[in-house]
Amino acid sequence: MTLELRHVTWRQGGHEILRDITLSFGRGQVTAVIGPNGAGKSSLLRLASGLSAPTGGQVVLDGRPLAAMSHRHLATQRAMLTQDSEAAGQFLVRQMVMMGGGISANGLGMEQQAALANMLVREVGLERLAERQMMTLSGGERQRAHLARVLMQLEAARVRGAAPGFLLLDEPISAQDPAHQVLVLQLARQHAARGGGVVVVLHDLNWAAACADRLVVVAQGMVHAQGPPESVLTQDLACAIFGLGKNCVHFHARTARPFILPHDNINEETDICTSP
Amino acid sequence: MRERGFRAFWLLCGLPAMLVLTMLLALDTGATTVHLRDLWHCATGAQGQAAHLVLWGIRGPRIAMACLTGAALAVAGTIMQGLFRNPLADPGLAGVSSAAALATACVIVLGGAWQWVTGLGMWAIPCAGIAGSFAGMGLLYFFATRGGVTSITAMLLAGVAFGAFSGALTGILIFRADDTALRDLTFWTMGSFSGATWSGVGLLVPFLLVAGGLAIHLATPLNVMLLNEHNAQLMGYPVERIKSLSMLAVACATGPTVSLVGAIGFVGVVVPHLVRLMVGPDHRVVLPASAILGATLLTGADTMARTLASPAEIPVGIVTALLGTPAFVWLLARSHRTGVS
Repeated sequence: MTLELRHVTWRQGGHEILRDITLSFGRGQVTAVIGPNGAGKSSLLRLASGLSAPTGGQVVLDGRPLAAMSHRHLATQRAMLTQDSEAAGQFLVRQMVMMGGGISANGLGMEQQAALANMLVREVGLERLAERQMMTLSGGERQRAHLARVLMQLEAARVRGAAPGFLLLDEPISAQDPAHQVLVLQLARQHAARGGGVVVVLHDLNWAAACADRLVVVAQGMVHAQGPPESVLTQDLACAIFGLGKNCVHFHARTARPFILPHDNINEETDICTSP
Repeated sequence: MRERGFRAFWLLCGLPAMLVLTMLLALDTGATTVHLRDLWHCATGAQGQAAHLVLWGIRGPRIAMACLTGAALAVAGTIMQGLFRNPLADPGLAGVSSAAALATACVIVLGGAWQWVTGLGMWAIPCAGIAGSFAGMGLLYFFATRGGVTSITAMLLAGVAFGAFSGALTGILIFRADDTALRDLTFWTMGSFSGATWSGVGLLVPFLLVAGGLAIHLATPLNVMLLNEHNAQLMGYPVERIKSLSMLAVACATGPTVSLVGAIGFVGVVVPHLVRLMVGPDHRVVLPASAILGATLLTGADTMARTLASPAEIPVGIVTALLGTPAFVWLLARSHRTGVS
């Protein structure tokens, strides 16, 4: 039961954004996609979600090509938090979260949907703001409201008996303060623990290494490396792909997961590796 | 949400009552005095010929036409603003009104020389307007669609360009027109219900039934479209179908009404805003409430248009703008002051 990209290529505006990508995302697992700016991470997520069709190759969910699945069915199997979610203006937070279940909650009673929405609003820490208009929220609060909407889409389908779906998150902590970064990533882990699959694009390498079961490194439209954080996030990779300085990769004493400490590099230009 | 729910409930109860009152007032008001109790006698056939003629033959179709036009323009405006995510969008932007105006001008100015036009008689102008509006919308849709994907921005821009172009063509026709044609054209441009007949209402109804059915179907999808197209698609909504059905609904609501009563501005832009200021953005409430408020506003405005300067008539578009603007500005100012919108 996987979400697979098979020899996927994507061209846009005459540029090759992704080249011959073959990847597989499993359920019950958190996969973090990392890479420098413009590497093609968000494009990869767009293709995996079916939002765009690949120019070559195919995306397959549980053995069926996405292209052969209806919008409605796909909505019960995967949900995605995009970076460009609109403010949703005058909608109230709770109203907007309810909208997430529009298709996938078809058949659930209104009370059941409302209870589910309330639970999710609470889980993302917006209980006190549930009756506020979306446009009065801060950027971080708005991002979490959209996360609750996206979770609503999958949870409603799950309550109706669908298999736990894939949660695709494009930079879900970009607007969050430290405490809420933890909260959002905990929710992602919780979704995986309940049997769902999670693919999350992150810029923060430390969070990626701390929360993911597997890292996928994308650079220049190709998969550069993939595997458990401790074997992927090496000093060589930090240098070659992310242009970080020497001796910046350390390992956590208790978890043995790698983390980046670039403090020494900030004022020492000589130590900075050349970017790829 | 609860407060909004109450407001929506009272609005959806209060507005129909207001509409019925406005319609009764409109029936009662006019150059000839007819008492409301005569209505009942009229319905049972116990009333004299004169009252019957005034109520059933003149005011009845006029009020029906004003109601339907107001509802249609308001619904079309709501759909356009929802689809384009632009508060300034109105049915005129989709090329419908300008195409209808061009077709109408063609018939008025050049029609005398065309056999099929004279054969259609009084139906020539509305039929040409309806055909023109659907053709205009079709052309715009065709231009904005590439590889099965319709670009809303391209449609908006093409609509503006198309409006300017057909405006220029209409200008050439006006330049060529004789005095009679010019008067007819000017009369049409200002919009009026004075020529309303039951057969005109009959022509309008099937189109509006289609538009109404589509509006009911589109209420929830239009809410989701406000979160942007990508999110709507990710949530399982058929985005391209929503766009094409929305445009069809706008064409069905606007084309025939504009063709029959002329161009009436203001209602399509402002009524949806008035309703949103009162009950929030949920299209499941905004669409029906806009329809009823549009009907009420235009019926009231038409009653004023035909009575204020009696026996002369003021163009109804002037009345809607004069009445509606201060009310709208007041609501807008209040919402800014209280922070509730």
